[in-house]
Amino acid sequence: MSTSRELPPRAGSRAEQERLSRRAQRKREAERRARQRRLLLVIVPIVIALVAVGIGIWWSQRSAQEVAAVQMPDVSKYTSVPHDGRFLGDPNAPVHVIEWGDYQCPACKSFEQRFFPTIVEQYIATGKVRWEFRDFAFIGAESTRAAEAAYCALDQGKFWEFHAALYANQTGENVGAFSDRRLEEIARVVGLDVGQFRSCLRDGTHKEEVQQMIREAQSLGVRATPSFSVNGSAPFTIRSLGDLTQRIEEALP
Amino acid sequence: MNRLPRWSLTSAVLALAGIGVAGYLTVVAYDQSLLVCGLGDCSTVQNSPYAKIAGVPIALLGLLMYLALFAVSLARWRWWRQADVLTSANAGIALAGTLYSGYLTYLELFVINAICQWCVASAVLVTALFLVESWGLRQVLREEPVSDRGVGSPPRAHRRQSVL
Repeated sequence: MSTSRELPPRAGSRAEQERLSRRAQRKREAERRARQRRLLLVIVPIVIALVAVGIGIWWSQRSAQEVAAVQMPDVSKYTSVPHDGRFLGDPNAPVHVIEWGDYQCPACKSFEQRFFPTIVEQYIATGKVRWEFRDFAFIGAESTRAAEAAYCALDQGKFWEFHAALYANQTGENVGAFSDRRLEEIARVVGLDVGQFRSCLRDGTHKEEVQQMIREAQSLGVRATPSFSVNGSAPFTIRSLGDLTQRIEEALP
Repeated sequence: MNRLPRWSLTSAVLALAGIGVAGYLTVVAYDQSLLVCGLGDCSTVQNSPYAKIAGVPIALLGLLMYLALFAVSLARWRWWRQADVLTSANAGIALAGTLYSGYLTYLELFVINAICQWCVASAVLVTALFLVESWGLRQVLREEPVSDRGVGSPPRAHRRQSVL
């Protein structure tokens, strides 16, 4: 940097002057490049970040608004065992289990899809357990609406098919997964008479029954879902499937 | 003096904390063993349709972001000559994370109507990372000498750096 001061140019030496001027020019050029580089190091990350976030938000909005096509799950586990209204299994089975659930509850969905097939196979199909599902709709408006809709499906003899389809189409809480329009769509894939279903839901045919079921559960001490009761025991929640099968085994004669 | 600037250490520590938080949220996102929905909290945020982009949990994207920030921090210690580019990269990543966290916090407050404490913790961490990295970028760019031999040679004190 200070080379020029240490070695003062000899006046009159044209070559030396040119050399110094070239050096000064190179220095100016280097400074310009450095400024440019600094600017790029600030601007480029800002631009990339803005573009990335823009794409992320657009994508997030798109996937959230896109109502997933309604799925029809495999319901053979229900139709292969005796089923009647809210009940599954032999009416004379020695053990009666009640499950309280909320169709918007992810834990209920998890129980239904991961563990319930085992219960059906080991206890319900074998005539040891009679299973009953009751509503404890507490997560929000769409919970009660889904519970009422399941009641309307019950009127048409397809409670368990509709029940399984609700869990299969749970996409989030109070985000439109169980809006009336989507419930009708679910009714359609389940094979219900959609016109009848629609008027049942619109008229609030089972509104009071659902509310009554919730009040009853509350008075029995249900505070979370899924809760269970084995042969009239106080409601309990589980941490593993073993917690439930143990209670059933204890109740078996 | 082979001393690392304090801000680069702070940044690495924040990124590690972020890995912890986002790692926990990712485990929760993939864990299906949730067996009870209680009153008040039912993983509303993590179960919202905004918790995933194209099937990938946001928590996993967050974890990848913190891992990238941490990896770049380590690379910066190893190759301090490139500190300006690496800091610029980290500042960019952290800026994207901060802006996206802002969007997610908006969703939590006004759309999903539920707050997830771990998500808030992550938003705070990434914002702090952005501030630290921006400060670092400022420092690194200021230190950058200009010589007619070239541009961006690192200051002598930083030519050889060790991690500690």
